[in-house]
Amino acid sequence: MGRIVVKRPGGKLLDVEVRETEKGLEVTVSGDFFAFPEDSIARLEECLKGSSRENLRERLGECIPEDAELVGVSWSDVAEAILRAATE
Amino acid sequence: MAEWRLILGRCPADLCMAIDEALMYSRAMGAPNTVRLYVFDPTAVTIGYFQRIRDSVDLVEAGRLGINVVRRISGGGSVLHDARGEVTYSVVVGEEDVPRDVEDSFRHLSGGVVEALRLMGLPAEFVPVNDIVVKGKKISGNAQARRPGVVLQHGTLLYDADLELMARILKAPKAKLETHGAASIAERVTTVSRELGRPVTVGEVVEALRRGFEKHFGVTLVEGQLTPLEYSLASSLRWKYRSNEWNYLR
Repeated sequence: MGRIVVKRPGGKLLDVEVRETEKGLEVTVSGDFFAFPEDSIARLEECLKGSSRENLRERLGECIPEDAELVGVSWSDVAEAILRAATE
Repeated sequence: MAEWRLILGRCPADLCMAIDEALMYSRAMGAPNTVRLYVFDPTAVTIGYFQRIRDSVDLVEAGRLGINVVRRISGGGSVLHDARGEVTYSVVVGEEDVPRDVEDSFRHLSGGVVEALRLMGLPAEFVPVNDIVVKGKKISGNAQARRPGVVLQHGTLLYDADLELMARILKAPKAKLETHGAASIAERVTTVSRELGRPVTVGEVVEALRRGFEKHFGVTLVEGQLTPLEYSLASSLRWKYRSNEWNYLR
C-alpha cells in the first residue's frame, strides 16, 4: 500500500494514503484543496473503510459524495490517486 | 448604502478561529454581514482543514519558538500569522451575497484585499484558486468555509512578515513549489513593505483594507463589537481549537 501526492498546475495539492489493516483498507485523503461541505472527505474515508483491493473501484463508485463540491482538485483526481496508492 | 459590521482586534490563535466560526453561526441566525480585520497575537500558524499537521508544519521548530499551531475550519494551506507583519481578514456573508460558483465567490470575496493593495499603489491581482499576487509573488492567501446559508472567507495580507521564519516553520511540499516555479517559500511570497520599498504600519494596512472592502462591496463598514451571544459561543468553541483531537485530526 502506498501514498500518492498529486499537484496539477493551477490546482491544489492532493495527498492520498492507503493502508492495509486487519479490517481491510484505510484511506486518508489530505491536502490544501477545498471541499464543500467540509465533511465530505471524512464521509468518503469512512465509507471506504474495510474495502479490499479487489472491490475498491466499485466501492469508490458508491462512496464518492457526488453532491459535494471540490475546488482545486476533482473527484476523479481523488479516485485515481486512491486506486494508484492502493496498488503501490 | 448598505451597512456591514466591522470588528477590529488582536487575539490568540484559538480565539481568532473560534470567533470566525461563531460569526458563521451568528450570521445564520440573522446577524449582519461582518468584516473582521485582526492580528494574531502572539504569532501563530494555522493549517487548512484537510492538511496533515506533520507534513505542513515543522512542529519541533514551532514548539521551540513557542508558536501555536491551530487547525482552521476552512480548507487551503498553512499560514504563518506574524504578529508584527501580517493582518488577517474575515468576511462572513449570506450565501445570497456571493456568486453561486465557488471559484467565482473566491474571486469576489478576495476583491476587498485586491482593492486595498491597489489603494496602496500595488498592482495586485487575484489568481485562482485562492491567491492574490503582486508581480507574480503571493502576498495573500484566502480560504473558505461554508455552513447552510452562510459563507466565511478569511485570508492573510502580508505587510512586513518575517519570510525567513515562515520558510523555517512551514513545510512546502516539493510538488507544490515546482508547479509555482519556486525553489522555496521565501522565493514565492512577498510583502507590502518589500514591494513598496518602505516600512508599512499595521494601521496603514488596516485602513487600506477597510477602504478596499467598502469600495469593492459598495457598503459602509460600521465599527462594532461581538454580541454577548457571539462572545459566549466563541468562548465555548475556543476549546476545540486548543484540543489535540482537533488540531491533530490529520
